[in-house]
Amino acid sequence: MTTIAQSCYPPRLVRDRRGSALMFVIIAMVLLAVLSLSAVMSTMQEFRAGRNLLSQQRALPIAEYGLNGQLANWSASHTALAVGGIDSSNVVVTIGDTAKVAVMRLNSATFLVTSLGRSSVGNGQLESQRHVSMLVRVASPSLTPGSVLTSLGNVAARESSVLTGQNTTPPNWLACASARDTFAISYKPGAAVAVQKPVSQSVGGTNADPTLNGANALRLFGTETWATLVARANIRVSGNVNPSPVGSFASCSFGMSNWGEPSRGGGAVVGCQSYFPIIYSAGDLSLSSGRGQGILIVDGRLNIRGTFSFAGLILVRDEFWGEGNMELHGAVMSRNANGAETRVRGNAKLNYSACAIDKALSSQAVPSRSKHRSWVQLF
Amino acid sequence: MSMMPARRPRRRGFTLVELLVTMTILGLLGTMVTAVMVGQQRFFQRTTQQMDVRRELRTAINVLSAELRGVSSVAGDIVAFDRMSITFRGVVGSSVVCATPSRALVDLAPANMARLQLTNFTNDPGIGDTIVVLRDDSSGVAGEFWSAHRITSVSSSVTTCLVAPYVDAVLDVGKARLRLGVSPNLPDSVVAGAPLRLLRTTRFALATEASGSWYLGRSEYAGGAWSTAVSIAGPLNAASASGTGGLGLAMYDSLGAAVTAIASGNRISRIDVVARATGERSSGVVGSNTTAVTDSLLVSVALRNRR
Repeated sequence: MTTIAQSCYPPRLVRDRRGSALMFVIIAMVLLAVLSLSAVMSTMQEFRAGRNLLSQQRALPIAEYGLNGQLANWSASHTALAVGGIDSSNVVVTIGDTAKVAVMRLNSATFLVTSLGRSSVGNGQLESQRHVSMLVRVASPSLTPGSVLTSLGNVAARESSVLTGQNTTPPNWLACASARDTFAISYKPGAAVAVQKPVSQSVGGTNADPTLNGANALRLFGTETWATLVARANIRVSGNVNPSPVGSFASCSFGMSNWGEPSRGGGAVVGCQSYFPIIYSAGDLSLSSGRGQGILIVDGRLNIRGTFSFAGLILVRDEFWGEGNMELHGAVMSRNANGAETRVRGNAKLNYSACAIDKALSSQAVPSRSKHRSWVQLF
Repeated sequence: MSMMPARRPRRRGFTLVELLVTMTILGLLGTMVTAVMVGQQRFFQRTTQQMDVRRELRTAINVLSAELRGVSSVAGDIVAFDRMSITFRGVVGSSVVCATPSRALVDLAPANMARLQLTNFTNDPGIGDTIVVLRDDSSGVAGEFWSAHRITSVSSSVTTCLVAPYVDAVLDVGKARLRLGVSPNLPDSVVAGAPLRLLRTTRFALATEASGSWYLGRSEYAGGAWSTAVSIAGPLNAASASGTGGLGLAMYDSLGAAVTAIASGNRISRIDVVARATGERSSGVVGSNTTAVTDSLLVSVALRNRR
């Protein structure tokens, strides 16, 4: 319906309403958005820089954890490494943080331990690593027996027993350097030494050693004492045992009756051949069979009979009795504290072996950080 | 026929009131938008400055602490120090003696070895640098002794040290090996496998550049003279002898007692390093006074070779 008023007026001109407010608003919004985005980006960048720095900083303690762990838990396998040999392992600190540690033997007493610490492993944007190294020196007990049998008391060698001061390499042992021969028996001047068959039973002769007159004779062993060696005992035996190595070609199961593997060649437990424990008996000890290697310390009388064989060093507070078919490669030192006689008889064989002694002592080497310039960061 | 005059279209415009109202509203809106934009701009600038300042602080602390960690204070590596600078014999490389063809020559294990990295140098050895080598004549750990020697020549070969137990006879073939001439001659107790360190006297101190700003500079003593300091980070605050400037250093022994004299330098176990920096003046929001972004970073560096 059309009204009169509408028809009386000309049609209203509808013109384009042209303005710039929208454009201004859009421009302003764009500018604000850009600035805000820049600020957000800057903040994000700062956050990422801080996060990366945190990961980077964490890599260093991870690497040092790997280093210090090796020193705190020094493995006998490290000490057994040949010069140039490497023993490596991975140390997992926590999920995503791992240290790869390697130990190389540089020479007789020096080892290089390197540790590559990696943090945020698996996160390509965050993963960091630091590489550090440490020099470790090992100090072995310094102990040089002057004979295969050293005694502060009387000594008797009878029947078919043999004591030889000629340096003897245990059967099938490898990497044994040559060493000089020594006496068969060293004794405290004044002690009685009775050898039934001097030529065949005491190869190398006997020696009245004035150093055995000292108050600390057979208590102080070079850099070690009786007490420090006892304190480092790996095995403490009570009662009579017949030790035998337990393990496989690649591993060794440690226990009170496993005194290492002195045999080389067929039938030997290869995994225990590098295991040279310190075995300590707080009282008298009798052995009739089995085998072992290392350092045997007896706070009482040691009586070995039967077929027991041992490679290394034997320290006895009281008398030492070797009988039957027992065999030793190394040396025996008996203090004869109770005044009884040390005796060797039957088919017992005591063979001086510098190699067996050295292996037993060097396996007890104490690792320590090298002084002055041990630690260095690698790049 | 009469002609009707052409009808002129009505020109409708804005009244003065409309214009005034519109302009007032637009002015208000413009002012508000401008204020917000300027605020955003200043916030952005301030954030950027804060980032710059912190980045420089981090760089200064990271570089300095990385070099200080390996310093052996007990061996006398710290040569001089005060509250704002330090001079020390820095470890710029480590290696292992592969062989000693003569008492005046030492062959090093090659770099980038296949099995284990034995040779690392951040700076190539140069004539006049110092090496220290661990002698093997000590009994046990207590008697260790590092023998110091000056490098007299440096050469490289791929044929030295081929059969040492440290190198892989196959995988390490063709890798360059350094041969260093040294003086005085090596003692007999320096044998294959002896660890070796390359030392170079290094100084960290604040220095001004042409702009007048202070930067943390690192210089080395090589060839009988100090090299021009290389700016590590900055600008930092101006140096202050009291240690309250752009770089502050404080030394402590293992009991936490301050060490202030170089005579006791071999007792230093820990070095506290603080870096301070200030950005340009700006205001975070419109209308507020301008202030400068100021920040600092402190790190305690435990010397790893302090015994």
